[in-house]
Amino acid sequence: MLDLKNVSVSYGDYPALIDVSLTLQAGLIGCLIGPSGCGKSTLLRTIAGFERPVNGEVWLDGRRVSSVAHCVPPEQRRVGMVFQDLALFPHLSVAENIGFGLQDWRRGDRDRRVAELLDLVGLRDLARSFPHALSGGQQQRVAIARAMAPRPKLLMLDEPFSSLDPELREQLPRELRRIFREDGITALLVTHDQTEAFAMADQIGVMRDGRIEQSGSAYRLYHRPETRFVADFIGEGVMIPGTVLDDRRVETELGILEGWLPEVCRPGMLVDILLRPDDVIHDDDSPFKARIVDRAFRGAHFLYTVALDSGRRVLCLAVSHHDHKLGEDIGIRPELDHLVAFPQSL
Amino acid sequence: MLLVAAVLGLPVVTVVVYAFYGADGVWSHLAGTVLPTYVYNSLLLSLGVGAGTLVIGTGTAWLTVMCDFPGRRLMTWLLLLPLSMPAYIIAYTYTGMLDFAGPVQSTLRAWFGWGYGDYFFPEIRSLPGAAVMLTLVLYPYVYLLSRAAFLEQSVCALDVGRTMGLSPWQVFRRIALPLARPAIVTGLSLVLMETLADYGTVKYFGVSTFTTGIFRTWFGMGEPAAAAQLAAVLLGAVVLLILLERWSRRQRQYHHTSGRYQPLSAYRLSLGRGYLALLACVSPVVLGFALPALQLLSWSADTMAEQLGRGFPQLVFHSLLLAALTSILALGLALLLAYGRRLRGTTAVRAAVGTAGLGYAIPGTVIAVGVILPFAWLDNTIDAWARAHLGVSTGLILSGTLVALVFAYLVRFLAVSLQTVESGLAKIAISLDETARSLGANPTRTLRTVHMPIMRGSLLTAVLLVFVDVMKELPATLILRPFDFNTLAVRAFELASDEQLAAAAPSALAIAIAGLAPVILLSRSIARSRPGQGANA
Repeated sequence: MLDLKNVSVSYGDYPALIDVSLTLQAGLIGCLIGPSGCGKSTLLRTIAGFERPVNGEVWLDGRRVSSVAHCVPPEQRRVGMVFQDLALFPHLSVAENIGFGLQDWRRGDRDRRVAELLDLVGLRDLARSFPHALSGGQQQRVAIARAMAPRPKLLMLDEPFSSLDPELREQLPRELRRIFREDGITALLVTHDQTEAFAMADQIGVMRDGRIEQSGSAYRLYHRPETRFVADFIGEGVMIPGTVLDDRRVETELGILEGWLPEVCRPGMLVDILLRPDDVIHDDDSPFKARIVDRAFRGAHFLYTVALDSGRRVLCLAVSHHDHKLGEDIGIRPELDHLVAFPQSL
Repeated sequence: MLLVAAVLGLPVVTVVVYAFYGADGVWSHLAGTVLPTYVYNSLLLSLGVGAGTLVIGTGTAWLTVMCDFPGRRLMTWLLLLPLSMPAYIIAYTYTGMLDFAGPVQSTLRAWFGWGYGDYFFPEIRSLPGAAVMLTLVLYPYVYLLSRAAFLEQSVCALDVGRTMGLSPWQVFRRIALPLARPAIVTGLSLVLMETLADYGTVKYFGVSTFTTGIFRTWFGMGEPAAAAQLAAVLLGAVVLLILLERWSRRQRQYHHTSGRYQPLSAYRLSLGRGYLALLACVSPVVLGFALPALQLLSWSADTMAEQLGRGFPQLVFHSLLLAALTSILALGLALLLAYGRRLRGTTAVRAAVGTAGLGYAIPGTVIAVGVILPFAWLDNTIDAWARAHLGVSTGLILSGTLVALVFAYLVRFLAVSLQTVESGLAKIAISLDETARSLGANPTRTLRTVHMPIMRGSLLTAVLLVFVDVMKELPATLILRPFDFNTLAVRAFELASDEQLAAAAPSALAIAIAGLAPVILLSRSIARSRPGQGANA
């Protein structure tokens, strides 16, 4: 459905996107994630046709819509967009907002489509209300219904949940996922919050400084990060240094860790190993002791920050009845089924 | 768009070009004789008006914002009323009231039994008199801007001053004034631009300044080139003012303190002081509006019947026609320029829009000179061509018709509607445009179905402001109007110049009434921004 080929975009001399390639299959939900200023909104705007690439091409549903030489104007792309500030038209009612993109439809068809969407987002009773009278979550749903109305080939959402209160942020993503599934919508959203990305997306692209560092499923990004940045940005965890012994063993201060290593790691090489909190088990019989320096109760788990003898800190996830005090020494044991290692020289 | 901006910039370019390639002989003659007088008078006038408006404007603004006294709320908008009076109108009204046969001197003579020459009475038709007149009608600019600045100031900054034991006067002088300085400078530069542009008042009072000089050089001495050179000098002064204003506006961002709006806690004044404050606020309104308006009313009552018979309806029609034509055209152009800039904000477009917006600062006389020179040339060219090829004389199809006049108005007042439209547009988030575009609306439809309905208020304001400005405009109308084409402003000025003060009153009154409309509009928007009431919205 969506295909980006080596797209670069610049604002003056500043490169906002560098050589970005990306594909999204029809019916899937994609998500771009990254720190602010990484170019993820620019990428959406480029796909929508508001920015022109200085290099590369954007293909949409088998048609080339952006290239250096030619750009199809946004109004002819059939790409729906939901902006961060929602951008509801204040002078139009909810129904009129949703119907805005249906000007060329026959009146009966238009009314039917608007009614259908009102039902889909559960706002039938508010059809005649004006945006200022709606709550944040309702406004959000109007904006999404409005973007969906003309049956766009691709629906894009820029930080769709950032203006909502925490409770809605939990609930809306799931609701939207259901709505998108039911309507068979291909969607691409931008966020800097990984829980949102995990909740919605089939495919996630991690962006940094105008490039896509890695893209894939949430599981893959979490367990097989290809760069330090992705390892750091997705999920929690720390790096501990170690020395490669052979192609599947690394010696660290928590003993010898075993698992598959990337090919670049040669015996004798100094590497950093990613330890996720769930890779470190609380085990009183373990020979490795560490002191608790911070603890956070998470309901089902405790997340302990513990200091090793070297002073290095690692995270340890323990079931919640293992209640230990700050300053207490506990036994920990690494348990990894694969290794994520980055050579220190890189 | 670039074309529009270029055409609108034509008068200014003409004036500058003439200034460099004009007739040198006349210029050196002027420089040796009258130029020093013009410079001296214009400077002195600016100084006087500047000081006067500064004191009255900031003083009343501070009183109405920070002090609690009887009638404060009413004064907030009453203080704007003098804005509706063109300076030349109150100038001749005061002349009528204060001259030897006028009501003031007659009363004094009756009370004290004086006769002619027994006493000293200041001559109103003088440079100080002109300064007072201009001050009385221009101080609202400073009042408006400094008031807005005082309101914007964080309560915290002022309250900190109070907790540190500063007296109200010290808070004003050491905190509020410095914080509001950029806004005050902006107000002051507006005042000075108006002062430099004034023709009616100084002409009527016989004070020789640049504007009257331009008229005399052109029509008295028949030297358009020299007039254009004078205009160029005046233009230089205005450019300086614009730079000053820009500079102070740039400073403004550094002057913003925390953006929290709370109701300002006003100083409670004792009863006596409260009435003093009220008096201080009432006097400029009485002097700048109430007295002249009453005088005009009483004169009008005497002469209305007679004037109505003498083509008065036609004057009204002419004024309304010009005002309506210009304000609608200006709105169209402003929409084109402002929306074009929004769609495609390249440097060239931005510069073009910026130039188009400069016209307001340029005195009407300068614009008139800059319009008539190229138009006359164009007319002669067309005429010569038509004679040579068609054997007919086309005459003056541009410079002698309303085209030239409306064009000059557009050059001068486009800035007003442009600014209003731009600030209206700026309040609409760009994501609304982009949403409409992504929903399949092209830019034109977006403008029509999204922007125009949302900023209907701004569009109305833009039309109204230009409308009234055109009604009041005098010097460009005097120069560019077609032969025998009179407007209210022209008639009022001509009759007054012929010492038929009472006969001029109905026209003057009509202009002042029209001038009330934007003042009411302003006062309504001010009422909405009262401290603590929706200031955040």
